[in-house]
Amino acid sequence: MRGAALIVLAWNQWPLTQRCLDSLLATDIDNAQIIVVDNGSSDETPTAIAAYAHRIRTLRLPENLGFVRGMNAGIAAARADDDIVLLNDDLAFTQRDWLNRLRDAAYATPDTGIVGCRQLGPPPENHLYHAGGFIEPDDLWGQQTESGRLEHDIAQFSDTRRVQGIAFALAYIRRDCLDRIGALDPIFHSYFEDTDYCLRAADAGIATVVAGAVTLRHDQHGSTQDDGGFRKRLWQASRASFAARWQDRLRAGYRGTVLWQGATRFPPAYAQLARTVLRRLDARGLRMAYQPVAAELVNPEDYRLDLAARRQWPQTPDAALVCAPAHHFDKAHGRFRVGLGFGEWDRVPQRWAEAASTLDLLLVPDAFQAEAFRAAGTRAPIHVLALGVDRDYLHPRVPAPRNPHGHFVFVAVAEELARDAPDLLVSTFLRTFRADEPVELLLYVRPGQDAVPVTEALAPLLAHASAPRVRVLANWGFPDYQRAQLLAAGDAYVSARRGGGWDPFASEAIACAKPLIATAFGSQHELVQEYGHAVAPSRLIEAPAHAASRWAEPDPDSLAAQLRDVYERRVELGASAQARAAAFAAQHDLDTTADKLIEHLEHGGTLAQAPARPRPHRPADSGRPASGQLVVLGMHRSGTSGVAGLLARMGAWAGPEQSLLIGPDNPKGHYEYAPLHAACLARLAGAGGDWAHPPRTAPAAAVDTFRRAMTDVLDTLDAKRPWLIKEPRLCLLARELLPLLTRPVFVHVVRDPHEVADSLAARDGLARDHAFSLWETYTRAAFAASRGWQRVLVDYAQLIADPVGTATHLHASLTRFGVKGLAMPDTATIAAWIDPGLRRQRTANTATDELSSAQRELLAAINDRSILADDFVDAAAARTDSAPPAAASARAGG
Amino acid sequence: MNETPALDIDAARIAALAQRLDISPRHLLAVAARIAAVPAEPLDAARLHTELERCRDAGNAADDAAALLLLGYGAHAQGDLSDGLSLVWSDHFGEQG
Repeated sequence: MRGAALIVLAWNQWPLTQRCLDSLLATDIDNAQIIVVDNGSSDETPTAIAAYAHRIRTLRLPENLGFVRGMNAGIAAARADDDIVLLNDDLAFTQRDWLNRLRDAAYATPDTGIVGCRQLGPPPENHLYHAGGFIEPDDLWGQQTESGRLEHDIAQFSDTRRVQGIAFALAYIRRDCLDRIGALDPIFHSYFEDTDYCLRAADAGIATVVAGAVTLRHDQHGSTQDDGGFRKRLWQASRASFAARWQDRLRAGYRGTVLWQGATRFPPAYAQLARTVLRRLDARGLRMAYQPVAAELVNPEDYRLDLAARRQWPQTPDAALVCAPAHHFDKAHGRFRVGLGFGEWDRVPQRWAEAASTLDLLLVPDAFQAEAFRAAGTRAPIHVLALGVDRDYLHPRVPAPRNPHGHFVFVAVAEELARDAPDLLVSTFLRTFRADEPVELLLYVRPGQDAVPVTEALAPLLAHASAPRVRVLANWGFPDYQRAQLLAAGDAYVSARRGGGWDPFASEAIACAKPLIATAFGSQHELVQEYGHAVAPSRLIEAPAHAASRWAEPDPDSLAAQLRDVYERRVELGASAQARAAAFAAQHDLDTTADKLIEHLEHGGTLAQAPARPRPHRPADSGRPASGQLVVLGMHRSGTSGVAGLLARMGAWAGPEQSLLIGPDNPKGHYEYAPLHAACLARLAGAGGDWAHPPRTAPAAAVDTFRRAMTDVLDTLDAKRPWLIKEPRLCLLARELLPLLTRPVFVHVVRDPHEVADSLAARDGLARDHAFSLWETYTRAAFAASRGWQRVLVDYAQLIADPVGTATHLHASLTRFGVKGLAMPDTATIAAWIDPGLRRQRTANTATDELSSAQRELLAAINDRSILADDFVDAAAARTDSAPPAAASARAGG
Repeated sequence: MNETPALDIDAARIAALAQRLDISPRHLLAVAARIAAVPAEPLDAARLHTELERCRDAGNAADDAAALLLLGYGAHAQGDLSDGLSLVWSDHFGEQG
């Protein structure tokens, strides 16, 4: 059975290597083989490592060949079909199931080839050292996170996501990727070989991802400390090699220079957009430069922003994007001038409208803002660009200190006294709750020009000793990436804003699974109506600084009612907020915002065409023949037993005969290997489901137990290839097997869903709707699992109508894939096995009106065979999010 | 005895003075801070001109310093939010009632 080779490179520093091995051996490495490459150590490593000889294999090199050649020696020593995991010896394995979670990510999509993980520095800081990063052509200073900032671990980047590159301190490399890309390039001694590898893989359509479910500890450069400048010299030499190969290509990859004109500190909402969107645009091929629209203290911690601020731009940039209050819009400096902004009122001030009219395009977050600009006479074209949530940072799993008394906490934020009405919020809160109720208001006063007026306005309200608890956090600046912790510290988010401007906390609260209370006005109107608890405005009033512009005065009674309601129904509302958070975030994703923004910038015609992307890699591209592992996939009652029996007659082994199941519903035999059947049953039960009620989630423990059981099954079968496995439940579980299979061939057996429904009704008394739903679920999961691998489709109706012809086609396909040891059975053998009487449920009426539209689409894709096409996109599966969790969470990160 | 009432220091007055001295209002704040920091040294025209030149040369740094004064240290000095939350939930801090 195929496994993984865990290659640990050691060079002196035995205590580190020992810690690495001890922690590694305490994890679930199952069938993986550990290979320690001793890179010519001169300390006690060669002798000390002998104590581990019973658990690991050691490869001793005569001298230090460097990271690349040392790792390549390990790769060469690995079993031929194993996946490869490169490991630095300064890693500490702090997560028991790390390998299985990497496998989940590695096989979630067919084009994934390289997988990294989150890496933390040593405690107590627990800085996030690595979460997948990027390299830019300006100074080739590779960054290990998307921003390049050093951040504390707050569960950021905890999904599986695509990245430009990873550090090969830990790299899971799929064998089919290795087959295509080869080993590490020895032109690098150490350093830059990892980014080079990921970029070469990208050229081949192979994706690099970071498995956010895996976090390990990494003492960076622990293996080369105190080296008298040795590491620096290695780095410089490798950098020169990397520059020669990639610098010009990376530069040429940019489609043009876009000047972001905005702010990185104040106003906070615009600064947030600069921090989160600018880097996404750069990662998508726009060379981003940055210019502040007003004097500001530059914060160099964010590498992307700092780089953009340092960059030179052409005399007239290809595009300008002014992301700032609209009176700055007339500063736009570019061939195509775009503004992104919003106001607080039903009609923006005249000066704003005039400045906006100088733009080629005005982008606003919603229809309210568009109307506010139009009402003031803005003449530029106005388009809506929905502003999404940064899912890398904002989700329900963010850790934060919680109220020590267990009180229910409303979180609020005040930035401007008149706009945010914190005094109204506090006074309403005080009269809504009694002092003895376990509820608090946590009000964060944002540092800025209104911080003092806000705290002064609150002081008299908070002077009563018998009042309910209001806690004010003022004059406390914190890094913006910790924003989600403010929401995570509470149980609900409340805003009593008068202003209608875009409040990022509102949508972020929903993404963090917190009930939202907000004034139903402006940019929050539709959001709070659909997802939150709307506070009715009592009336529109003129804004203090802009006489002709109005905002909304929230009705205190309505606010009080919503506060009370959310508190009283806190358990119910908390549960529903949890249930909808992920779907909301997926629909309001900042990555989508970045994609749409680029489409808008393209409208100017000043950006070069996006470079053509390589065809996505498929495992079948490895060029190696199938190994003789046949996986029969088909819905229950679809004729999988018939096809399995046919394969057995061609010479495929289904397992020891005494262990093959025979049941009353299939007296001629199922060709199901009993231990395989038991493993599938246990896997579904372990997730709380069964064949008729497929579980929606894939608990890690259940997946791991299944893989362990299947290891024994596959080891038994591997004694005699070609072999076949057949179990209808494998449709749901095949993806989890992929790391254990060696260049398998999937044999899909399909049958008209009406016949399937008839058969299930007869055998199990299943309702037709239920049967159709199961057919859809099984079929989608099966074809999703086999996408990119060698596969063939057998139509049960054709098999019955023309057994010999179908068998001939199947045999020819398998032979073409490289399966050896199969022989075409003679006609009599086939006729004796494929008895038309097997087709017990014949359905005269196969009209599709019983099927849902998605089921009809699926059936059509099967019937015209488009479901086998390399570029087939299962749109319905994406809509219903029916893929396993690991696949569902994989998303582009730039 | 006559007593000259103190003038209100408002934005318009600062802006007007800054214009006369050909510096930004924020630079003027920085000049004032530097003068206040060394009270023993007499403030004559020569010193004033020296301080004004220093501030003009300081460019953005003087602007930044003034921003710090205007917006408060919390706008620029950052601590971990979790520390702030722990502080705010410690006994008595920020609790009213």
